Amino acid sequence: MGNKSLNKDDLNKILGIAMEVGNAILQCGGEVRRVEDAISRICLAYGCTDSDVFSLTSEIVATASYNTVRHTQSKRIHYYSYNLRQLEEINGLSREICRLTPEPEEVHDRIAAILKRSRINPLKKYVGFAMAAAAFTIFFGGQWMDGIASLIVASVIFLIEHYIKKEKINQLAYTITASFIAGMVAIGINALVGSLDLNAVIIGNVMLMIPGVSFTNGVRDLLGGDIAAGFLRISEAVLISVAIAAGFALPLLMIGGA
Amino acid sequence: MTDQLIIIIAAGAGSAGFAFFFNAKKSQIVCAAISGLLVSGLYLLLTSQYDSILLDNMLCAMFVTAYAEIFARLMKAPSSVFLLPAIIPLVPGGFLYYAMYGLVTGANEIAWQNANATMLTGLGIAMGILVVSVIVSGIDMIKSSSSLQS
Repeated sequence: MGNKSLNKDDLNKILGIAMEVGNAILQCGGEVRRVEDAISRICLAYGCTDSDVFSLTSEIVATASYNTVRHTQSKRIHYYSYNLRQLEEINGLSREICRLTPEPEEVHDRIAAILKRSRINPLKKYVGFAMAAAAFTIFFGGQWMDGIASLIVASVIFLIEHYIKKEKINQLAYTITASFIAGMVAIGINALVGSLDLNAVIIGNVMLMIPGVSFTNGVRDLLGGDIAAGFLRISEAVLISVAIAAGFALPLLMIGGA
Repeated sequence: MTDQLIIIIAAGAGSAGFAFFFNAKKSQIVCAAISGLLVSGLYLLLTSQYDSILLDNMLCAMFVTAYAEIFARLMKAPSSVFLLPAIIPLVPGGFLYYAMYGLVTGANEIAWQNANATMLTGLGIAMGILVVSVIVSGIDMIKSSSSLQS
């Protein structure tokens, strides 16, 4: 688009694709600073004279201006799930956009293609899930048998996560329910087999659900100067950790565990 | 010794599992597994030297963050891709569970000790990431002032 002057319609298109990029980065687990950076760089690359972006983990607001013409868009993000391939590809695309400034329509198609291409294969996700649960059960002092039990519990959690969880579900209610069911299954297996290290089995699965990654990202947001976004993420991580503890505590209280 | 070896291997498998789960590429899954092995080895070494949860976790998080930043530059990918799976073995799942377990079973002493350890671990990880991030952004600033690319 080069150096020609931009009208409101152009700003709408430019900001539209910039917001799409930002949204895709945030949804797959990028830091807030990366989102703000990408949106503002894209706007400037297409010839905007100024761009103001503010992003939280759940909302992006951005204004692109060309001299006195201004245009603002906002985007609400309801759901995110970590997807490192999507993060990498979108990040690459965002750099390429800044370098080559392709037509906005083309960018729109390429974002759609990346989202489609980087969708997580459920089988791969399950393998990772089960592997991590078994590994962390052994990491926290379990034996081989405990690892296998943990794998079964993780399979149940995966089924819940994959088939029952909806995108706009209440995260806390979901976490308590899922960990309650997982706790029941763990105690059930222990009752059937006997002599399992129930603590290790449960910890292996706590590790799957605990939002350590959100916490890490929250810390990075804080360090990047995005205090609001950082504290949002960290408080979310703490609340979910409490929900996990509460969910696993209930079956132990009701039935009695190890 | 074999116990420790099993713990180290389990941490590598755990990090690799999370990398799978997060849809990382094959080469990145290998990086995640190696970082899991290294960080748990370092953690075991540190816990045998210093009796401070805060310090152990801070040093481990520093290592992991530096590892992620280096590989992000070597393999031209965002540092999150390497950091997020690598940090998983440090996550205080065990402490959190035993804190809850102590609370539920009325063992207040155990509950408090583990709750304390959970918070210290979180703080240690945060401090570790902080130290390395500050150094890295310092280096980036020096670099970008000499050439205008970033």
